[in-house]
This record gives sequence, C-alpha cells and structure tokens, in this order.
Amino acid sequence: MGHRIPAHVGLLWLFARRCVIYNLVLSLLGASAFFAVSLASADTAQALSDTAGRAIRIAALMGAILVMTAGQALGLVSMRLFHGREFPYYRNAGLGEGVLALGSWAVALVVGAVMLTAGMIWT
Amino acid sequence: MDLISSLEVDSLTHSFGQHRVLAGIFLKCEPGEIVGVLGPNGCGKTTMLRALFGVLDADSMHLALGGETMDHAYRTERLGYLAQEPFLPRRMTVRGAVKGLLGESEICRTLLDHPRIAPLQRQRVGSLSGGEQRYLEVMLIVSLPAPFVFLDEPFTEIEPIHREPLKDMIRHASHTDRKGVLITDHAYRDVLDTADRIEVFAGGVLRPASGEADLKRWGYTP
Repeated sequence: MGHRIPAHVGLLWLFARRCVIYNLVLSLLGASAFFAVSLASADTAQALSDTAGRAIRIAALMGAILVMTAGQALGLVSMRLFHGREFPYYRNAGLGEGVLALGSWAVALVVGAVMLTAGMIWT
Repeated sequence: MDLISSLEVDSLTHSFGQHRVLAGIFLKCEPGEIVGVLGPNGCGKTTMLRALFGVLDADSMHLALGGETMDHAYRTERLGYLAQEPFLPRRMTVRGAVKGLLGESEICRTLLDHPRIAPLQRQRVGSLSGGEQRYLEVMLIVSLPAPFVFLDEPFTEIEPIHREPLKDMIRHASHTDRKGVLITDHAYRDVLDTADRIEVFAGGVLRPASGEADLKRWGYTP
C-alpha cells in the first residue's frame, strides 16, 4: 500500500482544482446576485451610492463564506454531475469520493480564508 | 507489487429492486491466471466487477485477497479496474493522464514509449478516437502495480489489427507479471482466446465452461 503516494497528491490536486473552479464560479454568481438585489432596492442616487458601498463589503464577505460552504457543496455536486464517469480514474489510485471531497474542501477553505482576509483588508 | 496468493469471492448476491441479478456468486482467481466471465446483457457481469472493486455495495459479499477480508477493496490499491465507460479525464493530455496514475516510474516511461502511445503523448484524451482511448485505458490498467485487475469490455471499439497486441499485453501482464485478471466482453471469441478459464453466467450464478459447447449449453450462444 502507499506505493503511489506522489501520484495520489497530483490526482487529489487535479480533482480539487477543478472542483474549486466550479465553486468559485457558483459563489461569484451568488455574491453578484446579492449585490444586484441590494442595488435594486435603492431608490435615489445618494441611497444608491451608500447601498453600493455597503453591498460590496457584504458581498465580499459573503463570497468568501460561500466559497467555504455552499459553493463547495455545489462544486462537488457539479463534479459528480459533469465528471462522474471519471471517478474510476481516481479510484484506481485508491482515492474514494470521501477523500476527494475532504481534500477539495480543504483547498476551498484555504481559498475562502485568503478571500476573506483580502476582503477585510480591502474594505 | 504486493504478492497476494489469491482473490476469492463467495456468496455475492445483489438485487435491483425485486430483480435479483447476482444469486450467490463464487469465484476464485489465482495470480498469473486469466478468468473470462461471459454472459448475456443484464446478467450482472458489470455489477459483479463493481461490487468486487468496492464501488457498489452488494447485498452480501465475502471478498478475500490473500485471505484478508475486505469491503471497499479499491482503497487498498491491490485492484485495477477498467470501467465499461471511458473514464480518463478528457481535457488531460495522454502524458498527464498516464503520469497521474503511475507517477514518475519506470512503468510510466515504458508505457509512454510504447509505439502506439508515444505519438499520442501530447494530445488531449478527448481528441483520441474511441479505439485509441480504449487501448490507452487497457494499457494503463494492466500496468498498474496491482496484483489483480478487472477488465470490463476491453475490446470495445478496438479494431481487429490491434486486438492481438492487446491480448498479448493482457497475457503478458498475467503470465509474466503474475497478475490475476478477470475479463468480460461480448467479443466472446477474444475472451475465449485470451482466458485460461471461462465462467458463464446462468441464473444469477457462475458455471464453469470449457469451450463453445458449454456456452451453448448455458444459453449464451445459439
């Protein structure tokens, strides 16, 4: 056992990278939708300016949280839906769906934490 | 590669709803042996291989590798499984897909230098023809450092001229590298030609067959 450890890391990274890309796209859509709804609720130019500033701060925070939570869950569902036939490739390296999910979630947490930090510094 | 004495499955049963597909399978495969499994569509060949590999939870199964009982056998890396459907990530290059599973190893270099694979190395898997992709997948699976491999329809989409080299490769993996091989395919003459021993599905269980007469007897051929 364990004779293909370097290959394991590469495959885990391959899966996590693709999963997190789905995650980022979906999380971005979620945060953008929130931002758009917030702006639509402003009824004057001054209110729009105030609302936009507040909405950007919340959307940045929300985007990072989505990346670490629901976005990643949807990313995993997307991998299952669009790349399900590739799972035997990973299993032949001894990597089950649980390991792939945990590994990719760890990457999502790191990405989300970086986004959160960057968002806090920026805003 | 781990040296394991045998793969043995007993009492493998599985149903889809009310339909019982596997009704108590017993099968043994020794290292260096190729066992061909034949049967009509829907008889449970793929279901059996998926259960053995550990990706389908059978209703009941006792699987032992070298006397060691296990459930999700693929986690031990002692099994290789050629799935029925193409499974290599389409956007990866051939080189990347091979290295992904085999790592930087001598086996990997040998496979990439193979005359049929070498010209395809830089191509994306998705740009290969169905036959090229299948050939690559079979090569990849039989090259895994696993003592037992399951091949589900390895001859699908393989043109006649490349079937003999493919059979030689499977025989070499088994008889020289001492892998145990379970092989199933509807190209039954190729299976008969490759396997050392044949088992036929009949009524949810496996029956030994010694030739075409037995295939007819168990209702597989007309």
